[in-house]
Amino acid sequence: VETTAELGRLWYADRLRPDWQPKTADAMERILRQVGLTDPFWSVR
Amino acid sequence: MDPHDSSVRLFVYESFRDTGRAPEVQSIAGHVGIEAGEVTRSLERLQASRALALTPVTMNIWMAHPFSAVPTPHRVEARGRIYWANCAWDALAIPSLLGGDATSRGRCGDCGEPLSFEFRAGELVSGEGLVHFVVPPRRFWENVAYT
Repeated sequence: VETTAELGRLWYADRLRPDWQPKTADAMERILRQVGLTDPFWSVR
Repeated sequence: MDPHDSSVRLFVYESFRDTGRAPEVQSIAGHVGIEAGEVTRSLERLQASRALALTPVTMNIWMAHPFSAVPTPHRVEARGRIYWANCAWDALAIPSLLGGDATSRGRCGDCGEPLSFEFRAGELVSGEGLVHFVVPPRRFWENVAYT
């Protein structure tokens, strides 16, 4: 639960910003790695 | 991103934040200053860029992650109102996006036991559980409702 809450905080942090843009694969990978989700299951490509 | 699309997207999210609900097309049109038909085309472009999801056929706003426009088993109580989340992940994300105190409620997907998570200033402070992701990130949008 703690990991998922942190993932949600980082993943959605920019949704209320006017300059939001779709996340690149690199940006998604950075967030997933940041919360420790490094298993191949979490690959975005 | 098209400037109108950016304005439409932001208004959708602000509406979810401020009301817990998705705005109507006419409301978006009035706020952004464009015709309803252009709002619909903008929403379709936003769905294509995965900024939000529309209901099949009727093309109403369905999801602007982490918010859901329709009631789900995942509810967040915050700011004196109810917010619906699309999944357990989103139910744990809405409190941090809103930034205040919140209670996220749902049921265990395995045994059905009620679950409750408390947030203070957007931070998780109590609640235990295990979140099961069925779909890997590279396939999130293949069937976003299932995800």
